[in-house]
Amino acid sequence: MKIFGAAGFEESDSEFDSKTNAMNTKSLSHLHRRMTADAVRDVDADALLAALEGRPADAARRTAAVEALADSAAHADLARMLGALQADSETLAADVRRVRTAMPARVQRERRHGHASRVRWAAPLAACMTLVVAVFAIHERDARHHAGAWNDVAASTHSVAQPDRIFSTRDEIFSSSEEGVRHAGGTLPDEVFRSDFSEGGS
Amino acid sequence: MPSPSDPIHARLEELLAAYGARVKALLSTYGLDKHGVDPADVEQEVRIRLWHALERDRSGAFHASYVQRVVASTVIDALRRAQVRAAEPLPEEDDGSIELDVAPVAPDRRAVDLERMQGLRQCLDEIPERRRLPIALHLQGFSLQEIADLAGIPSAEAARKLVSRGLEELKQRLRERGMGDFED
Repeated sequence: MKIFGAAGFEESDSEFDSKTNAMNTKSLSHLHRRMTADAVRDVDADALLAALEGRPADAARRTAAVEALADSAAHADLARMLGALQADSETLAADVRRVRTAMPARVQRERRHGHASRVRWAAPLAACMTLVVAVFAIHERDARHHAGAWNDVAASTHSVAQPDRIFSTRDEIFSSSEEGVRHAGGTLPDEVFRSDFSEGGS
Repeated sequence: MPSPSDPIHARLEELLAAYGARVKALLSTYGLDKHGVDPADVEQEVRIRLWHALERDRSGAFHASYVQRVVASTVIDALRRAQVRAAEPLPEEDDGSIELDVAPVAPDRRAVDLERMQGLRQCLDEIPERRRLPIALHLQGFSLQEIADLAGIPSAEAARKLVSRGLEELKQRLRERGMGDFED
């Protein structure tokens, strides 16, 4: 019958041996990481990310970045950290975009609200103005109508006093035929036919 | 950019603060602080760079790839600075060494480690490039699919074969140097 406690001790011993081996740097991984712990290469962040994300990049820079991951424990740790941070970076970017887009929307909403308020005030104001203009126009028309009636009355009264000019005897076109009449009235006769040829026609 | 009293400004700051805190936590989780990177400094730098980007391009799209690039370049810069600092002479009472994965080791063991590291370096250099790169990526902890994607190998299965054969070759070379047997 197997005693769990004994099995547990066996496992513990085996774990202990494993840790002891690691402490003795008999693990290739540990030895390699210790060997590359202080190695920090001059690596380009863009190329490093492109290599990690599988994006295309300049071949030489990409190769340098991958070699940095292989030969520098610090860059390898950075790569793992960036992998763990990816989701947080996406969340941050999305949140920032959301906050930024909320800002113009709010401004637009406020602007729309202000415009609507103005429209609400402008409509009654325009109606009032129209009403005022209409009343004024009607008033003007009535005033003009009354004034026209009085003028007609005045004109008819005046026509009685003045003679008809069209058929008046002052018409100059036929004035020559009425010479005698005009002489009598004191008007000068037609001069063309009034020349005096008795003195030699000069 | 809206004024600091604007709720939009406050919301963006809140988002960047949460993201910065996540960056800081992951830097420690993935051991980048052991490479001389100060997570608090990187967090602050990332937040500043992202904020400047938001101010610079107010109507532009804010993509995740851009955010990732900002983090990557900030950490790379920090690693470069850490390397420069490590190269500078330090006070005697503080050796400033960066320990990775294991507890501090005694001088004699450190000498053995150095010898093994040199042997591993030489053995790796002797392996053809086609197999050396997949092995090195495997030893850095990348999965077979990641190795295939990074090294331009057609499939994860092909990567597995290359890694397997390469590791056997590496172990054989290490044995021939009298360095004993190694686990993966």
